[in-house]
Amino acid sequence: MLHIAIETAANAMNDFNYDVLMPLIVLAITGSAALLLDLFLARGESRRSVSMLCVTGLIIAAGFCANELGTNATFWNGAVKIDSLGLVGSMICLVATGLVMLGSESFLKKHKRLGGEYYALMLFSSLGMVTMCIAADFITMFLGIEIMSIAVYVLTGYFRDDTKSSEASMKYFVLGAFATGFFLLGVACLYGEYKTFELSKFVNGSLTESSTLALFGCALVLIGFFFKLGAAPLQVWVPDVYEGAPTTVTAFMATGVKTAGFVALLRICTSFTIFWEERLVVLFGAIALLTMILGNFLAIVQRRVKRMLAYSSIAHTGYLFLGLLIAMVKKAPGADQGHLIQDANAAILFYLLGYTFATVGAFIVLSALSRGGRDVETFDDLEGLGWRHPVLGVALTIFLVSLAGIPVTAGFFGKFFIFRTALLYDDAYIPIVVAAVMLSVISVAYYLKASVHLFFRGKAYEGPELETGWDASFVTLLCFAGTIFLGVMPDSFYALCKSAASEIQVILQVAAN
Amino acid sequence: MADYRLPTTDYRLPTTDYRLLSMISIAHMFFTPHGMMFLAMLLFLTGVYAVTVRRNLIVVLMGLELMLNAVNVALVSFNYFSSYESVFESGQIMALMVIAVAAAEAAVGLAILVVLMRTRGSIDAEKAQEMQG
Amino acid sequence: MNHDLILLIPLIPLLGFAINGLGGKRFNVVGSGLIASVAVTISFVVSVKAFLHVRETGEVVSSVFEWFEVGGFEAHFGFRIDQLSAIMCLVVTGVGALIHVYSIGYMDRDKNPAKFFAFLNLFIFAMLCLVMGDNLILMFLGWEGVGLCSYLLIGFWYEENANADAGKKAFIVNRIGDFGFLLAIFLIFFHFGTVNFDEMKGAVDDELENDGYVAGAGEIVNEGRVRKTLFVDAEHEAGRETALKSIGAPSWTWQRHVGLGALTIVCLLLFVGATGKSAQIPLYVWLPDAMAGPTPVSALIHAATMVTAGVYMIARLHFLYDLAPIAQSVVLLVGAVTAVWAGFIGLTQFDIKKVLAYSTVSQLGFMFMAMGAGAYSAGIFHLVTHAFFKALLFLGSGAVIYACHHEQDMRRYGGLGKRLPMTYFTFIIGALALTGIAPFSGFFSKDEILWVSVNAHQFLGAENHIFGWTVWALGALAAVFTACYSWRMVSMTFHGSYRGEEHLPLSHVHEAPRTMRYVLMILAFGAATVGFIGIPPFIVGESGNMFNGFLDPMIHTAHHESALSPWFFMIVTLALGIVFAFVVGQNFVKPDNRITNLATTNDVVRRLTLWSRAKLYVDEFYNVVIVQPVMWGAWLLFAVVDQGLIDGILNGAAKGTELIARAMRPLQTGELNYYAMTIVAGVLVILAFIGLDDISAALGLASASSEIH
Repeated sequence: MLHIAIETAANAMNDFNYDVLMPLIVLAITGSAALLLDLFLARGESRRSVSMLCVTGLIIAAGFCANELGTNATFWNGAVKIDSLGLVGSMICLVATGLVMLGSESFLKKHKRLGGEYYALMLFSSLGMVTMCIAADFITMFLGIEIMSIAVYVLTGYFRDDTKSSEASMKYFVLGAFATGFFLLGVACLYGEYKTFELSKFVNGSLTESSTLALFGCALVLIGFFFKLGAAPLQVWVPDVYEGAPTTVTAFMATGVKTAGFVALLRICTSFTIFWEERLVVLFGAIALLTMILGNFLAIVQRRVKRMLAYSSIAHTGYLFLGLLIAMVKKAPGADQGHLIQDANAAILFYLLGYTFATVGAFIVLSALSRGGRDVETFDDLEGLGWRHPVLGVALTIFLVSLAGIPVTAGFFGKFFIFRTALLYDDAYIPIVVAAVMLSVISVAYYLKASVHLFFRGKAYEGPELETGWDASFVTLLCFAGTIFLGVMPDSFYALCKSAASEIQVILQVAAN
Repeated sequence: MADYRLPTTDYRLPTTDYRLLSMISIAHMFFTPHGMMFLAMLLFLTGVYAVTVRRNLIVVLMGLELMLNAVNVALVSFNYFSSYESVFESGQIMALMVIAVAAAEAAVGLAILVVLMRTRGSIDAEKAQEMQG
Repeated sequence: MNHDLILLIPLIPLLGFAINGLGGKRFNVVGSGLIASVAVTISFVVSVKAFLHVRETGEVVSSVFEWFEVGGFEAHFGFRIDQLSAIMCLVVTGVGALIHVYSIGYMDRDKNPAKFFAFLNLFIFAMLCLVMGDNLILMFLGWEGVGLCSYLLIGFWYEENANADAGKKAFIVNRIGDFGFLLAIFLIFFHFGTVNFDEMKGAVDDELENDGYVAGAGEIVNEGRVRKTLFVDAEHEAGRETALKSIGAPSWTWQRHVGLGALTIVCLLLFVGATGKSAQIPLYVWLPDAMAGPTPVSALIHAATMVTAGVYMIARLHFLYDLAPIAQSVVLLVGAVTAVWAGFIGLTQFDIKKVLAYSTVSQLGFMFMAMGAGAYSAGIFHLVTHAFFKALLFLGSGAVIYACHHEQDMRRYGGLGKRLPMTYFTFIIGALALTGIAPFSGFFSKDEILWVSVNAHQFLGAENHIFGWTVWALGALAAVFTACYSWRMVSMTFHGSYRGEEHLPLSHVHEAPRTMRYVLMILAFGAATVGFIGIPPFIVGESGNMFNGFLDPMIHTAHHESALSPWFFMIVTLALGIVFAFVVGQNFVKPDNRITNLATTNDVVRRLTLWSRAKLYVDEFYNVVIVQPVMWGAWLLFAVVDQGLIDGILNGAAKGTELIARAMRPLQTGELNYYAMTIVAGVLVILAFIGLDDISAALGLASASSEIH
């Protein structure tokens, strides 16, 4: 006991490294500063200064993340793991947050709910996301999840006079806290089994036989993540919350929360070899399939655009689970498993970035479009708006095309990489990949429904002038550029993703020894 | 009220208060890994019951708190019974974190209830189902 | 020449698209039309230069750059001009440029011409990607791109719901085909590890060289991993080959027979893609509806270029089809049946564009017959001649429609020949070429196809000499139908007396603008003369056939031998064409009441009509659905199969999907407690999945205590 204490003290100098926490520190300071700055602004006054401050903070934080790239070590007594997976994941979260923030101002103005706390909350939420991405033990991860979630609960109910918004907030809060309860119970079970919260400590000894308590704990931890990611059968909250939340917040939820959740889940699944237990793999396969089917089929019958996108988001969780599934299947010992996980992780990260661009873009376009001063809700509301706003209309079409997975967009390569990795390593995936391809063919129907309404139904809209701020158009163009760039030159980012996954091999070697 | 002072002249047992004795023995029975886990599960399921069945959102919030505290019981007891193995009292630390987060959640939850009360005039979960399908 | 120069061919139309698309309403019809036409014309000039280069040096001009390279998978974004794509480029840009010029006249009354020309240029770009791409991915991108443009242009006048519906129908039907194509690409990548045409051909050639048949490789080592071959059992094939060789069987019996292996499946799936894009049975239904688009679109996309993409794709991958005789038979048979089927329906249509649409389907059937018979160059030759004469006919019909103020019903035409002399003259040339009357272009290409189809030795991989004759008979019947509907169309439109007086006085009918007339003349010249590049070898010798000679390095044309002299077939088809053209042409000049009553036109139709009379009650029942009292036999095909059965299946699939979704919907009640309960249920299901015994053990804490103590 004593020698461990001495060893710890000796490592303390390197271990308690504030440099690696700089992204978090920057985010926390900027968020507080934003709240302070908000005090000096009159009610109803433009909050652009606050949003600019926050975006600056995000850029600096992302810069710190980029600066750390290449590091691969654990800090803070095993609480924080700095590697490319976490850093790339963090950067995707920060990009999502930044895009949404930039595009929010005119939407909030339209709804007369300008407020600095909106940006501060979003920033704190992204702080939680980054924490999740770099967490290496369950304490940190839990804190990250909660910092992220609590801020999003509040943001969901940001339009406090809107019944839908408050209802969505209530549902999200109660169900979210409920799922957190299960997650925590799982963590407690794992703690009971392994006497530690550190993910890296779980590797040893758990590969061969996993005890009941551990399996139970694993399942409960997974349930927490299934909920956050909207995987079936825990997807019930997604459509209601996505529909009720302010559109920009929905964009944020659909991308940032999902990215952080997947990165954390990837870290757990790939570092903790108990998750390769065959029953859990089968469970993942079943959930991936069920999620894809539910999401795609229910999206078809929706009349409201946001709800359709919510179900599509569920479907995308299903495709991403397919990627996770690939990463988890145990292979013959050797380097093959490393390559497999590497490919699968890279595919998932790539998918997440492509999905982020398309989804943020789609929701921002929806928030920018309005009909007679009213938000666009149903597909019918979209009629003829495409000709009125060709840039937004075409951009929305491209985003939906990307979500459907049609070339030459980011979404195509996201699916391509996941399906290809699956087929490359095991023929057993053929049925599920065929199912996924067929479902994505079905998805074309409901995605293009929006474009058809935009361009090919009704007369060109001639009603009252639309309020589309330059900020929304700017973000739309950014997302558009991102979607097309990843679709035309996918290898640039894929290479980065792949480096993000390369550390996994080290873990595997540890596991094998 | 029973007299809890220990008698000085009785050599048979430290106390003749069988109610106290039975309480102590039950507490000892619980104060094992099994017992504490059982207690935690009992509390947890009570919380789950409150969330799933009760319609009053205040009670639902209480259920959520109960679930988190059940986990705390489990964490602390796991830590206690294995403290000779662990250098850091990480279970206790986690419990502290959970308490802090639970406080934050309660604050947000009650705020949401206030908003709900204001917009709908009711905190009945059944009344809030505008969105479905 | 600088090889990268060929990039200009697709990129300049893309530039035109960008200018017109962004310029928007700033340009009027002449401005935007000129931009678009000049862009395509420049492409044409570069194509000619590349063509001459290929012709002189025989080398393949290609421009390759790396698109992306991930995890051992490289995709090269390469364009190439070889003998095949040079011809296609010339057709696409040449005919395309003419149609662009024509559109300037045709679209002069349109509100948004810049949008139209932008889409047209985008189409040319996508089509050139399809044609010039050196790998399947690029081809597929082009394939989807032309589909998208077709969809946009069919629904161009989207305010009319019928047009939007037609666009939707084209879209849905093409998705089915694309699904097949995509699966085929996956399978090809799975087997060959590449989607590059050259590399695929190299792999096939290597295997043929090493083992005598493709299946022989057994396993292909790809990226360090050994994958199972997708072809038939190698050992079985090897034994079969030895046996056949030992008895001195001809080489094709053992070399080409690979059974129902994956290669056959790949070729069939590719053909599914081709049936969608090139409108063959059973997916041809979208093409007649697609005539809702503006007429230049019909000419460019639905006659000359896009619909031939399937034919081009098979020619491009002919080295696969050569090894899959079963797929070849299917292609041949489907092509022949489609040729007859569509020709038969075309006999009774009254919409001038519908007649041409069914005619296109029928002619595409001829091209697929050539593909199935292994005479790829003959199919491509027909593709080229067809592009000229069918574009001419469509544009001619466009000129008539333009003159008659968008009237498309031939029953309201008649005697227009005197009013529209130039259109009449060029239309006659087009009809002569379509009918296949010497020396117009269609004669040479159709004759060659019919002749090679007789030589089809195998049916579904087995020796069968009757098959060739059957297919030839079908082809000859289709040629007869071609003659009938062509000259019925000519007569109803230009001969006799004018019948549309109450809708549009004859004095209001005016010849089309000059731009349109010039284009018609150029195309008429092409339709009349382009056939001479492919005069049959038995007349001028092997070296005299310039077309086959040019294509030879790319697609070697096997020397065909048949029992009867090729002269026999030539004379038979020519005679049939002339006779039926004359008979039908004469019939339709007769008094007007004969026009709607087809019973007395000729013997074949009269017998069919009598047959249909016996079941007239069905006719009456469907009279509401089909407004025109058309002949019952053709009507059966058109209404029951075309409109009823196939549409029914498509709608049924869509309905089924929706039903499933509606059944799932009540899961979302919107109630909080209910949601919490479903989450608990989900948790329980997941825990139960992990193992009931384990859960009970966990609750009993058996393992926990054992770990602790």
